[in-house]
Amino acid sequence: MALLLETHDRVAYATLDGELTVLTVSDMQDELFGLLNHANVILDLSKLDELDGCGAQLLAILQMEASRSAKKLTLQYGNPRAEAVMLCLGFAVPPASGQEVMDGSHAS
Amino acid sequence: MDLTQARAIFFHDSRELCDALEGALLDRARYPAGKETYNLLFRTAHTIKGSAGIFGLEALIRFAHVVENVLERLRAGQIQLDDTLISLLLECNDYLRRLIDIAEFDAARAGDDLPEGMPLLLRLLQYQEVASQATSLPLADVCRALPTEKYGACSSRWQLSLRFHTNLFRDGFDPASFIRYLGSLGTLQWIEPVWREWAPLMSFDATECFFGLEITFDSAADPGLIHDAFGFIRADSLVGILPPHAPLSDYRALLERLGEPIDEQLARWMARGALTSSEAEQVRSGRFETVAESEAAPDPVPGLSTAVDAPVKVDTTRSPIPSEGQYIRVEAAKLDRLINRVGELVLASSGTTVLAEERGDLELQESVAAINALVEDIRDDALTLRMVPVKDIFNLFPRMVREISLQLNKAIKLEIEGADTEIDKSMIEKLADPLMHIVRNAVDHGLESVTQRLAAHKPEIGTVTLNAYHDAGAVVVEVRDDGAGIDRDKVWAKALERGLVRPDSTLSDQEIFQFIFQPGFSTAETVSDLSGRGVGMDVVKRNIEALRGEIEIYSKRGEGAMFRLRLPLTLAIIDGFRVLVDGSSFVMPLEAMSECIDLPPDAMQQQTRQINFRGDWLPFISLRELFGLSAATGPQYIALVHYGEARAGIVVDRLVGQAQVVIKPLGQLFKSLRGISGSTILGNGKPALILDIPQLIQYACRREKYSIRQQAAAMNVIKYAESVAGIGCSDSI
Repeated sequence: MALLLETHDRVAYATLDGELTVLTVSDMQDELFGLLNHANVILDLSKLDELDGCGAQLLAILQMEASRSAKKLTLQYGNPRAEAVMLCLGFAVPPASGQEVMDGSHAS
Repeated sequence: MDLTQARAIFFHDSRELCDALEGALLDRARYPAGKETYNLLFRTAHTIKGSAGIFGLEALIRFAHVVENVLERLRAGQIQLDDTLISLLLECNDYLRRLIDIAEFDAARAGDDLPEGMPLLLRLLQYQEVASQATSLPLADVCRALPTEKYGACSSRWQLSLRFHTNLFRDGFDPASFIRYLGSLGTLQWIEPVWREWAPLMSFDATECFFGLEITFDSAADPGLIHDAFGFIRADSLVGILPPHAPLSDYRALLERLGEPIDEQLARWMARGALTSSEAEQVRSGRFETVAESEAAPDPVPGLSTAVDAPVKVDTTRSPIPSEGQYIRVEAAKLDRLINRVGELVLASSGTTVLAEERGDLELQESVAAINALVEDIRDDALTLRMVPVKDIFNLFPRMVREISLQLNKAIKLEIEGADTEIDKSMIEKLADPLMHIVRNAVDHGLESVTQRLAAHKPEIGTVTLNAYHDAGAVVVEVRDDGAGIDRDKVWAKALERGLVRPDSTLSDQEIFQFIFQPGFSTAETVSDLSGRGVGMDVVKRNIEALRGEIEIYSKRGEGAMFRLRLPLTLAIIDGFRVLVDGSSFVMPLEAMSECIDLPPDAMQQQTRQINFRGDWLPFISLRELFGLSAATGPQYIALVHYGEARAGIVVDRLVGQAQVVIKPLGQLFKSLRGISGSTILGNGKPALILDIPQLIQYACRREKYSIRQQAAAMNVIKYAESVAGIGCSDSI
């Protein structure tokens, strides 16, 4: 489990690697909240091997904290499994139709 | 007229009208789209509504009224009868039947609408005049117009409110897995997290759960399954589940359980269409519209019906009750008792015949003969009481085939022949399931897709034919299709693979096809919703055999398949033929016999039990051998019997003559007897066993085959021995 951070043109590119689950959130939360120090962060989830409801909650809270403090934090999925978990808990919005239609097949 | 009786007739007639409506909707050939058919449809709905009005059956009137409005528009050419509308009207017809059932058997609920009527009403409303008007009636208004509290909320979806306990994650639960499971039970229409305030980031604990979920869910799954999905977390977390059309009072109760700001939660429900604004208002205030208030409205859907109502006033002067074809409903148990009594009467009268013959009094004999003739008539009449036309179940199929054809996108024509053939009522109930299974198989596996059919130079539309007729004291029901037929080689290969048959066996097509009745036997490459899982054909066979029937399969590759079910006409009384074996009486069903001949003197000497009868070799069995009795000393006879295509002879000591017998089932102790199907008491008061002809024929044929095989093997051994001997000779030279 690791969070890699690079900065280009005042945009912080962070990559989550490994798993973000109830077993790892305690270790990761400080590093993740540390991203709020940047004004514009793109968090890449494509290398995330596993994401559960607890990890998804942490990502959702991270996003909400960012917007509360007027920061920009974008989740970049490139990872259907992680996206499915976020979708099935209503944390992510399907691209086409707003919050409506969360097909069960997304989640499986 | 007695109102109770009039009601009974009304219910009977209404059901017939529903059947007629369904028939007219499904049979496009007899009822082509056109004014005449539309008039018929309209009149049917109108009559149901009108008659229901006489008896004050409110729910029925309300619903029939909306259906009638749509049919009126159809009649006026304002809408088209397309597949969607046909499906909708069929569903409405089912709902009408439900309402009729409830009105008849549960008078207390006769005025109530059922929850499943609501979605139908909403779909029907799309066909009403509002749909064509520039300002269409918003759904919410329609809902408001309908008596809300009786229906519950407008929404036809499940509404779930989950508030997870803070320890959810630490206890090892993952809400994502609940949602995934829920997704397998239906379609998740809307998911929205509801957050609790979390601790400042400095003291934040990410393993704590801070959210709940609001879910809208579309599912036809068993409510128990949906409730069970949350069984594990129910103890700690708050799980609120509102089924489709839940009463508004339940929404209020959940609101109070949640203990959250009322307006926020109401807004969530409204945002996803769970509640309309008027419903939300009622939930907020806790004052729900009462039934009386809602019924005070002049019409369920204002502005819709007044226009169409004028030309079609309910004609209460005309009696809805037809003067002919009246029926009396009789309890089935009473009928059974009557038939039992008639059975006893038949027995008693044969006893009297025997006595009269012994006395030699001609006048008495004449009188007894007259009584006997009457008794026979009574027996026939009594039996016909239980007979119902097979169309009672055949009529289930047009609907089923239509639905399957839509589902599979195959063009299918269903032809029904011999629907008036009568069959014992107790059998017809048990026949429906097996028959349905066979038809479903025929449609799903038998009939090919349109492209495959065209490639095979067949008509684009596949045909499934249901046929019934009487044949040799049996009722035959056939299911024929002109599809691809059963692949004999595939069945053979599968049977080999499963070790059901040896590779060197020689079996007829008929015998090979019988393998499909093995449990778990399927040659289908793809398993569909309908069939192909290899489950069921064994059950079909078992059900048919329980009715003392049998199934034959005929199939020609590329030309189709036919399942022929042969069932006994009735289960109670038969015309029998009495024979004697070693002084004991046996009875064989007369219809199974073709003739009796003398047993050729040397027939019992040969190992192969066969006789040459008019050029055909027929297998035979001796009842003395079968029941382990000593060989006969005097001359014997062969009764030739048949069942379906199979024929065999049964060797007996004496032929006595015809007798009517009432079949009495064998007790548990004798259930395992082979070759005996029941017992009876003869006219002289002595018992006799009834021979199970199909089983005996099967036994004879099997034995014949076995002995032929044995002989062939013996011949091979001899040939082999000769050839070995021959080689030996040549070696020695």
